[in-house]
Amino acid sequence: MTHERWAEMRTRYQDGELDPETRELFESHLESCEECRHALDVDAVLGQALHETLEACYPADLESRLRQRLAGEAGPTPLRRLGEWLRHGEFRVPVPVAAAAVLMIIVTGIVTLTGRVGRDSLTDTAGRRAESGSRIVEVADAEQEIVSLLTRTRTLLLALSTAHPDSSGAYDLTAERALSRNLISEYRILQTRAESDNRAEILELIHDLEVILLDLSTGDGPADARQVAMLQGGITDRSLIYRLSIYEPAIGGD
Amino acid sequence: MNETGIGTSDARLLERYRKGDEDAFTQIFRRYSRRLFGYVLGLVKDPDMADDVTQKVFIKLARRPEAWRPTASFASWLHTVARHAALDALKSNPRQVGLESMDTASPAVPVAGETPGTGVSGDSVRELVFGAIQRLEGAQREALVLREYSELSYREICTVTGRSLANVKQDIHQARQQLRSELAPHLERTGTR
Repeated sequence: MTHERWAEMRTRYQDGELDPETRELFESHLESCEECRHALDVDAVLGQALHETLEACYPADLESRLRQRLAGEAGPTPLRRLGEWLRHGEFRVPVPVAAAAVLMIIVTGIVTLTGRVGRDSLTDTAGRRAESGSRIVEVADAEQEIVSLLTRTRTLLLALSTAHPDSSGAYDLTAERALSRNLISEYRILQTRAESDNRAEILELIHDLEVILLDLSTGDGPADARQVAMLQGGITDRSLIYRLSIYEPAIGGD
Repeated sequence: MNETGIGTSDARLLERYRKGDEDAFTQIFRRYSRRLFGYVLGLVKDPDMADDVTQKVFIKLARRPEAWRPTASFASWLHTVARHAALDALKSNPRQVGLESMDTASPAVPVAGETPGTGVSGDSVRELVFGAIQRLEGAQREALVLREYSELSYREICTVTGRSLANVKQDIHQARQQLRSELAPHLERTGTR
């Protein structure tokens, strides 16, 4: 083997890129090769100097400046972009959206009253939605409606993510199934508008949400652990809870 | 909790951040910000621009952590994002020296103290090293910094740079060879060997 081949092998040796057999072969060569030992010594010093040089250039206040920028100088947040779209597009909530919202409130209220919703978050949301139901219909403000839609979806997904089985190991998803059906009808209307305005960000989110909501809504009766795990996996894989939370004023920072 | 979350996988930290754990984002930042800054500095050769580009990369991550898909290593994805941001910054600053066009002018390198193993002041060694790195051909410099400073594997370097494995091996090998031939005499004079 020529020494140039050994030198190429040396580079991979120092980067830990040799397989065990070749590494052993190279180490045998190293014992008898002053040139390779010297090169490794020099490279170690140069590597250290490279580290120190770049470290010395690193601005110590980068983290604090990034925090400032994230807090207010990083351009419009998703919530702000949503608001701009709606305002500039003179978008108004179609009547069916408001109707669907009311229907959802009624369904949620009934389910809650019959005690079939075990999760506190859903119960709280139902209460809040019932209290503000008339306001939703009256105001018909597009941005508020859509943020509300996203927030309710997030609450549903959170409840699904933390669902617990009953003593028989089954999951009662009655409330979640009913909610998902109503949410789907609301998203269809939003999707139509987003398509006509070419809002890729919103369309991508709706598409990912529909995968979960459709799976949830088409089921019937209690779900087993495998079905719930699949739904929870879908939520996690698509980062849906996070993506929804960034449209919430209280969480998203707008 | 340790400063950089050592022992916690990148995927786990990102998952925690997606669920609202801001501390997880801080850990990711502390784990990668130095490596990214050093890498970007090697590309754009301007500390202010490297500073801005590094911030933009983390802002993107903060806004859309779901943009990373576990099909590639997080480290290589983050460096790829940084590479694109650096090239964009260079395009919008035509006066800035780019990846391929090299000169020997070095940005100010704030240094102090003595470099271990050399017996000379850190200033001298670092300036020598920085100058020599600047004179490397662009692809060689990029591959060497990704390997030595960002500690990426050869495969990850291929992902970031879009170059073949054979080219990456060759780039790193030639970069070290050139640095040695240029700097070894200085190191020997100053007592390294």
